[in-house]
Amino acid sequence: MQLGPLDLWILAATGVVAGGLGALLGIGGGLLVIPVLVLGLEVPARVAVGTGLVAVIATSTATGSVYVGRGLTNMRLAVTLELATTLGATLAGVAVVLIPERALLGMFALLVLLTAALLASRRGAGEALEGRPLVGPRGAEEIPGGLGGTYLDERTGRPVSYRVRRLPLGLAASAVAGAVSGLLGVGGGFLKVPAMTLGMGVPIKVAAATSNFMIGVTAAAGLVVYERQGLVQPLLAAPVALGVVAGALVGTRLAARVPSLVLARLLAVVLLVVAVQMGLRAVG
Amino acid sequence: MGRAADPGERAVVVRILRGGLWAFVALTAVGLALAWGSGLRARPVAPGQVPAALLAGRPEGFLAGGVLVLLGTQAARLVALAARFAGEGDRRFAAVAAAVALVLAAGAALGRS
Repeated sequence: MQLGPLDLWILAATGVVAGGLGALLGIGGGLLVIPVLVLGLEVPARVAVGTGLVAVIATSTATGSVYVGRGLTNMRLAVTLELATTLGATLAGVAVVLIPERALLGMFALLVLLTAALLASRRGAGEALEGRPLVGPRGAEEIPGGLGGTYLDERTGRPVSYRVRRLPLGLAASAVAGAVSGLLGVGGGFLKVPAMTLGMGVPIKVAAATSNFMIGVTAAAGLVVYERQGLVQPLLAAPVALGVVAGALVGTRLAARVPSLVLARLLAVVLLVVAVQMGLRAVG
Repeated sequence: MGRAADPGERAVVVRILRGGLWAFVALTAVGLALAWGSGLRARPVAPGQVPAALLAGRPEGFLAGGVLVLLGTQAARLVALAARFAGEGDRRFAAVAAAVALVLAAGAALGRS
């Protein structure tokens, strides 16, 4: 494969924006990276998905190296749900070669549309911002032998305990999120976070940090299959992933200062345009 | 409520993620610099050929090596968590973490077949 210098800079800049938004809004890198590859650089959809998976792992590794240290990630819950996400991602990675390229693009367009709608809604944007791990409480802990934990509520200054309910529901949602990740090169947090908060009783800040931690292993499960099928182009993935790391590390530092509600609304508009373009490519 | 989780398990995971991240950044930056010098060309390299490509100073070796380091970092944090959970006597979660690592390994085998 050969790139031009301009392509390289476009890929790196896309990575920076995707990584920054990943840290600020919890939107995985693949949602922006894949349309740029497919629409801008005419990269085949499956190769773009493989690149998106590399971007997701880079986001999770960069933000995880900061967020895990803050203690909000529930690692026992994460590995339990990862059992389902990795199975879903692995099976999707195997199945992706059987799915027509246009169908993949159509599914991706629907996913982007759904994310745009969530970000545009007052509740969805509010939840995304409330769940930003870097502006969350400190001192969270998990309890050995169980899935629950405690965290310190910043407003009251008191520790809050939580128990995890309806684990089968969380496992089912995680399997679907893993399959979506393996098929479409995204993190799948938009499915896991609501399942954890609304279905399993996990506080949103813990759920967001835990989801962020999980997407790396989930995307890795999909990526190993893509890699073995020759669907990963390191020359495409490298500038994107380097940009993602830079964007994510800067984003974690800016999280408390950026007017994120405005950012969420702007991103919703951008994603709406992307969804239409990807949809047209799917049917055109 | 039981005793609090070993804070060392977080420190181990952070060290693995941070180490993997910077190893990835270093390999990828070198790979891109080499690729820039050779007209931004790079062929995909099979994982088994990465060490030879690295030793030969080929850009694709560094770029593919960076991707492998990212994958290895995620696998390493699973293995480390399994070991820490086992060390705490938390056998159920140690088994779950090990099972997830096995799924990753099975995926690599499935993709090859």
